Amino acid sequence: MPRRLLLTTVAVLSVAAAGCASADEKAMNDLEIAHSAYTAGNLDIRYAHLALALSENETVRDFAATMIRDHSAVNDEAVALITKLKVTPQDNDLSRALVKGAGQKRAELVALKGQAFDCAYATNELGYHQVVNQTVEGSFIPQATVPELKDLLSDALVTFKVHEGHAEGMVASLNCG
Amino acid sequence: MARIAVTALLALLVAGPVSGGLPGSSGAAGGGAPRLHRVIIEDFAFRPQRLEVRPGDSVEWVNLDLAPHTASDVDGAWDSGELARQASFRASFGAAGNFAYLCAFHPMMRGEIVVAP
Repeated sequence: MPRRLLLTTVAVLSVAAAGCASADEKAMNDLEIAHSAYTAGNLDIRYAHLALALSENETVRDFAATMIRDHSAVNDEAVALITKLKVTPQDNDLSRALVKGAGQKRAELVALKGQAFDCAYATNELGYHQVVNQTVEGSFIPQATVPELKDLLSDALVTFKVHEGHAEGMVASLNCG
Repeated sequence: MARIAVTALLALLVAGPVSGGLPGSSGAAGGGAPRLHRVIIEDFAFRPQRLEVRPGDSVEWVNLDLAPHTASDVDGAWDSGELARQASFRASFGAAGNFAYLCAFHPMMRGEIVVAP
């Protein structure tokens, strides 16, 4: 079951990321990038709240608390930037795909309990961060044109890569098989 | 551990001048008045990771990461609490010894203050 959940997540995000990366003829603009980056962070915060509600595993709960704390800090910086620049992020196909995929994933996760939930959440977090990080590094940062946005994405990527490593360790420690 | 006097000053980076220690300084002071040393928290690491000070010196941790961090004594003697970006925390060290600390939010981040007479 966890493997199927991971594949679902990766598939959704890969399609979204591929849609972003392959659209060389129509690169995302800064406002779309800002919207998608913020959306991705918010969705991970929602996954984390679900984990805190359903998991009793200390490792999983610690990871979830870290996701809420770190992604909230990154998104707060994003809000500060768009406020400073007096702009409004633009919803777009990638953001919509992320939201739709996360909704399906939450529906799958909420039906699980105990070790099954922990493994599904952990593997989803690993896959989610892997694909989001590839998208931020391979598409968002190169395509962003506003220096402050590029800097924010670069700083955020440092955090997200640590999360990816943390998720990898969490998956290994849970012995999900 | 109880001999450590913690000033627990949460302040902005601009709160005050650093007397002596420069960002990244790692050597013990050469005597005289107590010095203030600085540890930068950046890219999920304490820099320098190991800092030598003299009894009576103070250390200031400054978080430059987007993610919040803490500087927390592993034995619980002192704790910065949550340090948002650009926030800082100071502690003074009164007695010789090695004091290991970590980030409570990201425990793989570890550092050490070495107080040498």
